[in-house]
Amino acid sequence: MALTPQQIAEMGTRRVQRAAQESTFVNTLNLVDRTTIDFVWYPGARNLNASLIDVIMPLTAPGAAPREVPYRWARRGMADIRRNLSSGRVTLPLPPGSTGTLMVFDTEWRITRTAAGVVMNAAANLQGVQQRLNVLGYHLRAPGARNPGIDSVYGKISERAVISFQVDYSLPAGAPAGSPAGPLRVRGEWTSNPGIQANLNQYNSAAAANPSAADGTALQQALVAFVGM
Amino acid sequence: MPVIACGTSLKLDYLVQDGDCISSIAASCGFFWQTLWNANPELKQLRKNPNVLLPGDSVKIPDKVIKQQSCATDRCHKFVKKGTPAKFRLILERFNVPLANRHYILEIDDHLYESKTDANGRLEVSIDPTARSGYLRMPDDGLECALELGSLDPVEEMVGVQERLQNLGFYSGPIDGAMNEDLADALAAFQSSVNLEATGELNDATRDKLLQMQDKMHPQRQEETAPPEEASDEPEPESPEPDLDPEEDEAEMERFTSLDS
Repeated sequence: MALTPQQIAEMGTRRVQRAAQESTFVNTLNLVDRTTIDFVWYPGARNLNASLIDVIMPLTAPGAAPREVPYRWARRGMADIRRNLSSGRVTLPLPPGSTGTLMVFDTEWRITRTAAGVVMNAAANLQGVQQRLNVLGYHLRAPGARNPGIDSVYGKISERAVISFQVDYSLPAGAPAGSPAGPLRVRGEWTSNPGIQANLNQYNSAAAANPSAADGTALQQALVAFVGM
Repeated sequence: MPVIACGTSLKLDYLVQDGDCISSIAASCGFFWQTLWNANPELKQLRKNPNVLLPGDSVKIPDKVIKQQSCATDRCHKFVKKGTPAKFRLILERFNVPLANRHYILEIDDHLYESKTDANGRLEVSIDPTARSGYLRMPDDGLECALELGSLDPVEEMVGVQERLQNLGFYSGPIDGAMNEDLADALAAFQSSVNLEATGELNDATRDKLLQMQDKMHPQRQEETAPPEEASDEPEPESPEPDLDPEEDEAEMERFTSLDS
């Protein structure tokens, strides 16, 4: 996939030399592509930038130094990279097919970049919805299960994740972006989250058909906005 | 290119701007690059590489030597201006693995070059010596890169170190000539990768390695001019740009050759 102008700008222009015909000089460009990881608040806001973890939190005392969050990136065969986060975004050099360990926020993340790249299913596909919910931290894994639960089956756990996402982001299921909020189209009885009770009440009073909440266009659009195509 | 008065009997000093090299200045003034390079022995001693000058360097523009050619009257005479194209050479790698036999599209100023890299990930094209900017795309690999031709600074300068580390994939911070945390990390990572002590501090050994890794010689030419592979850890020869034979230099001082038989 072609880089966007912003990505190119972030990469910077490479300064190179011309050479005379008889000369022996060359330029060597090692095109190290980088992996960007966003840490967002859970649950996040609708806007990605607004929900990025702001790690520079001014202390209460006026003029106090901003809080800095250190991180360490370790990859076998390379010297560790130790820097401070200035936002919730960290950009790491990581070749396709290799693995590294990121230590930040007192947590440790083992990050593997697949050789072929990660291609998600379309957001209109149930598996695509599950993949994106999983990336955003909504649990799809059944208790005790080993697989992550991305199985194209719209069971109770998937439904719970969808509803949680909708509640967190105040999304009217099935409504096009920008349209007034409508009732959630859910079909379960899970009401332990009081935040969705009102929506369920609206649903219960509605005579409309009750398709899967994962079919909601607004939900799919929101997931794509956060996680990507 | 700022205005340069040339073709006169005045000796001028030209102040190098960003993007200039001896080839581009020579082409703008109507000289061969060797002529200009040899006319500036102090600069030659300081910079070693005519392709890598620092903005602010001073280049003496020599007098033009007027060539006289006898021609019969009432006849048509043909003169050919000798071209002096520059070369642009890249070795393309991805995480230190050569991008061999890969399709590339290179746009330099208004010229489009499209081909495949060779088995060592190299590409070489002839360009106008005054070409300034380029854009490289490798559509099959999803890689794109903007290029500023002639803007590479000498490795003796901190900006030159930053630029080389960026080209080699170790640094993505500002090119401002200042030491910073990112640069120290990049230096340590580079030093580690070339079996130097990873101090994160700049020293001569690191500079030599940067030259060797970024500006390294074309292997085919290296076979012709440099020691064998096992000596490759040695720094670059001081003046790899071969000088013209003085007599040849004199003869080619003028760029126009008569085709009259």
